[in-house]
Amino acid sequence: MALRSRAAGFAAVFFALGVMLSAVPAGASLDAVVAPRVVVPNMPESDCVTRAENALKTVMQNEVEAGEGSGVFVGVTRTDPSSPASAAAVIECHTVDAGGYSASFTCAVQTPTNPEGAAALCTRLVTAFGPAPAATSGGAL
Amino acid sequence: MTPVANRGRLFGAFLCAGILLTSALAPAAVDLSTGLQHVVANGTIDECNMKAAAALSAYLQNPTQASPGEWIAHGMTSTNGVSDTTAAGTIHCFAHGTGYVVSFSCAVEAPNNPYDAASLCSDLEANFTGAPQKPLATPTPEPTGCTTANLIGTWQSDKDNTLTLKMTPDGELIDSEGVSGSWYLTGMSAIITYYGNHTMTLSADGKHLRGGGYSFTRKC
Repeated sequence: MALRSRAAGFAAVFFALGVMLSAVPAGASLDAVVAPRVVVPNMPESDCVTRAENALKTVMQNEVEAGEGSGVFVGVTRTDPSSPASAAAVIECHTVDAGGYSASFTCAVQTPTNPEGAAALCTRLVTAFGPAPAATSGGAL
Repeated sequence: MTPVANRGRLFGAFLCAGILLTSALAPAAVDLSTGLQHVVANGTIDECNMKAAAALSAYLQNPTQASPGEWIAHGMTSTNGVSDTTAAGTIHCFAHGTGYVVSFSCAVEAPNNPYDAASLCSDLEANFTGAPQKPLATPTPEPTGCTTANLIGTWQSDKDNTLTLKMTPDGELIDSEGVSGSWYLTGMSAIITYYGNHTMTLSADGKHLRGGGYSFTRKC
């Protein structure tokens, strides 16, 4: 799923997600952050796709790719199962020229409706995504 | 337009997959737009960073590089010092061959923000590439004066000089001590939720509201 292969098609997507909330207390505001990207060397972008999907499912209980093959995944979360969503997050996977991939994280929540801020949400997503594998050291004996 | 226009390729058109989880009572929403990408065949990450900061500055405030290649900026905050921004945009720069890929994500709080996330992202992308940009919607001026169409405005209690209610377009109210409630008007009958529900009647000139043990006069 390299970027070049995406370019051959219509690759770009434009994904609009409206999440309506049932009630918004006075003083509600939008809280948005972008987390430091995770760079994973020497792994295919398909690994990023798997980890992004799993992270969103784990943290937000759902995920959808914003266009097949786009490498952009979106999830929403809810304050309770019956309520509309109160937050959304995006994980983007991009191939790195040197080999491997990078994953970027964007989170947006409505406060105080959502129980946690955007930074906390992104931190949980990055944790669920998992770190880049530690560099292996040679010469073990 | 610069190398971006000459060499860049806008990745396709739009695949819109809007998910709208609505509620009849729900005037507010988090509106997210993502997936818009642009490839520049020849260019540097520094160039991408510079254009990202410029594009965000054109529509939002205080663009910040949160980490290498990751840019974010927020909309204006209220004048009361409370952090209540209703818009944010992020731009991501990724090295790619001899150029780079730039992607855009936007989020707004609707309907409190005057424009939607897709419009913001479209303009950020257009600004980045030098393409024509569409003016974003601006806030609708708050109605003033007395009217029977709504209860928007500041209401003075006829019984207590220290009590005022400020009723806002979103159906909320807040009194002079910061206690909040809500209002709903049907015809000339109003339901005021403020220490309980009160059914009140709006006068024909839209200036007086009485009932439920309360009596208010609108400042207009």
